[in-house]
Amino acid sequence: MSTSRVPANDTFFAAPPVTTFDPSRPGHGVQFYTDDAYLVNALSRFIGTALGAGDAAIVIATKPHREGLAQRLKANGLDTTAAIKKGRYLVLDAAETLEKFMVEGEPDWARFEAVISPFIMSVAELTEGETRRVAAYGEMVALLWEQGKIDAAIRLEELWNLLAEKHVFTLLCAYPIRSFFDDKHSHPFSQICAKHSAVIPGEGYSSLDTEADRLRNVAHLQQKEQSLEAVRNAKNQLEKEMAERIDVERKLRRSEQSLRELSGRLLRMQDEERRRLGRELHDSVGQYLAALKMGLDSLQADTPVKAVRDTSGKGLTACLELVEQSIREVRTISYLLYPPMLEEMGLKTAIPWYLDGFAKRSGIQTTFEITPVFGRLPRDLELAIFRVLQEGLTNVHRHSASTTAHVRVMMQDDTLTVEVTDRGTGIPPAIMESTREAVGTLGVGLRGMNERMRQLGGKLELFSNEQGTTVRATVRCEEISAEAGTSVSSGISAS
Amino acid sequence: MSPKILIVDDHEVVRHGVRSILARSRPQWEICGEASDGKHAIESVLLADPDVIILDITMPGMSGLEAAAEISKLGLRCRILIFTMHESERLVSDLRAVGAHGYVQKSQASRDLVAAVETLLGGGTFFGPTLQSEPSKKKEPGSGPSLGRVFSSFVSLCPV
Repeated sequence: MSTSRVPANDTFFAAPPVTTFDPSRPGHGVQFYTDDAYLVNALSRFIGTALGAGDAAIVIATKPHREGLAQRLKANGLDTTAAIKKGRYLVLDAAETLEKFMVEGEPDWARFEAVISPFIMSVAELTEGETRRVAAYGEMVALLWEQGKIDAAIRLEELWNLLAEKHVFTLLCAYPIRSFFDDKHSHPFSQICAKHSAVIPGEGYSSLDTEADRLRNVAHLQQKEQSLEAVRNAKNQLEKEMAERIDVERKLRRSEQSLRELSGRLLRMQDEERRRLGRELHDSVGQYLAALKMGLDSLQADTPVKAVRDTSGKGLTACLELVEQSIREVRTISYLLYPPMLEEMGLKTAIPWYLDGFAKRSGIQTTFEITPVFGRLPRDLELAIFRVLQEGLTNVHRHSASTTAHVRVMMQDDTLTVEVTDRGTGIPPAIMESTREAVGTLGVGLRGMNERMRQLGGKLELFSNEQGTTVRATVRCEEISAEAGTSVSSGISAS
Repeated sequence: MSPKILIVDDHEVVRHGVRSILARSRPQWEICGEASDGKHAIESVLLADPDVIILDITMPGMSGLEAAAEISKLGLRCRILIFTMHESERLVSDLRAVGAHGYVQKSQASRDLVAAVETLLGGGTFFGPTLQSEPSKKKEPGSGPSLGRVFSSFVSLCPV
């Protein structure tokens, strides 16, 4: 047998690298290439030589390659039209031809033979010389490879070799070198090479002139390979780290999310608890104390004037004082726990009520401005806004050393803005700086305010310098009952 | 005919206290009915046609403020006296807004209640004395002798 059945071992150099492939001697060569133009050039040499010698030729290629080849041959002064007309030169589409013998994703031997054999025999009949030499070029294997059907490509190479046992022809296949980009390609690459009698490296190798140049190039490529290997390792390492980080970030986001949900729930529970305690104190304990005072007042009224100075009379007076004090303190505590009138009258009443008490308790001169007066808002929103305001004023009292506080409530285009401004010492720059990264570094109070606003889809902003601090809460909301009104502003004295 | 008084409060002890004060000072006044929330207050007003209604604010269901507004709209002769634990200078304007004619703080019932009802029966309004007579030197919560300790621990849990 004169063709190229090479042992199907796994060695790259089973077929020695050559730089050209002679169409006049039977064999099965494989051409690797980087640039299509280079391939077309090599192909035109291969086909041109055969046709020029009066041999037959078959080209099974993609449209761009067929067209490139035709142009090239024409430019070299070879008229293919006559050869085609005569039937000595056959040009076929790779994909269409391939389809004729593929069965369930695999090339089928019987069909392959039935399709290809007649082509070879028919062109061989029409050679001009006596040798009946046929040069064939095919890139159906490359198509299969590029579709990821690596095993099918190798199988097709084998079928060509089988066909070479029945007919005499010289076969050249070609693969773009870009198809072998991955580590996993190295074994099949060796297999492909092993199926051929000649391996023609790509232009990077073949275009070098002397053996010394080639060796230098090989050394250079080996260096490149090594550095690529290092890059690949680094890339793998990075990918691994990246995957780990993404995983950690996902976990972090999840835990942050659940933390937020938890803090939201805690805030709501705290609100509910305070509301319950506040109302309980006011509505239950407070009422009993009021009734107790009425009773004691009656007792005192019944006490004869001369007995008022007695021990029991003095005791009664002391009891009355205690009851009065209890009533006042129960009222104060219940107001702090839950704003009076918030449920009954809404923010526009509850805020000035609270400010009255705040001014008295803290001695801070407080002014209040509301533009325009608006109606009732959803209950949870009213409470959240109130709590933010309360927290803001607590900060003014505890930290700012300011003697004044200005509260501004604005409703515009369904957006509610609440501002608490003081003329105090301001938040220390270090703390302000840290808030740029995370509000989490703030105290519990501000974090609570921020969380409340976030839960309602609003936001909390903080402005501070040596002249004072403004805390601004903004949230979108809609009135549930409208109220016509104009702006109100008032001063609340700290008397 | 003796003046008719309606008492509305959700706490029986408070209604009892009010009855006692009124009975002691003005036995000739008739307690024409009692109710424990805003809705029943309106029904009782329609039923008993009182001269004065003594009305608590914070009650389950319909509050005293809503009831006062409703009763005002009825256009009856009934005069409304708000009787509440709440205390604020702000309250007066809010109460006037819902049509109340007077306001007595519960802790000052013995001192102000009879005078207030009498003023309202006479066609006047009663909003002033309670606030003016508040003790001027107000003690901070928790500053008292024995209860102070209890309250100060409460206060430490509260915002300002």
